[in-house]
Amino acid sequence: MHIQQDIDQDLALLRKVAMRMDALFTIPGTRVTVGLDNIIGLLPVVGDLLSVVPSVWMIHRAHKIGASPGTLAYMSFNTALDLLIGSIPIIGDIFDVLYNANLRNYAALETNLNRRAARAKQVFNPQLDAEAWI
Amino acid sequence: MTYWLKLLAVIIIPPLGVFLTVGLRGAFWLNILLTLCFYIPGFIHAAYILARSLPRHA
Repeated sequence: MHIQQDIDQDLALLRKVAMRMDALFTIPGTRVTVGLDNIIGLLPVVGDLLSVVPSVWMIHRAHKIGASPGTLAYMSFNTALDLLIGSIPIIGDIFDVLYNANLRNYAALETNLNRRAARAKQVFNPQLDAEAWI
Repeated sequence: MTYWLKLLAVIIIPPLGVFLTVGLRGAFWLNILLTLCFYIPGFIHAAYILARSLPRHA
């Protein structure tokens, strides 16, 4: 139970960071979200390198929580794409605004953990075990 | 003064820096291509073009 609580707290924190980085506010009249990542990323290479720091931290936390290797690879791929394309001056900044790598990473992590939890419940279902013993 | 403006343009948008230095020449289009290769080649080329345009000190 404590483990579950810790994971929930971690996920809440990760969600907050992802929102700050990619969806701090919405451009009025559209559904386009702008975050710190997009603002820092306006500076070509240095800004994009700085905005990778929280992404790497998120991947590290995801690894600690127990995300699967596939999910970690997907998150790393998103981050690398964000860094590479984001460092091209104007086109990259437009891409950064539209792509929201951190939000994608968070969504992938949540899906992955939910799927794992569901599978774990299937294997260790106390009710089913009890019925089997009776 | 112009030098610092050009240098800033080279850092933020390399093709703009080249345009301010040599205008719409071949170097400008080449620089756009290089900048699309993830910025760094374009930055080096733009810095070279800017440095080449400076008057020589003895």
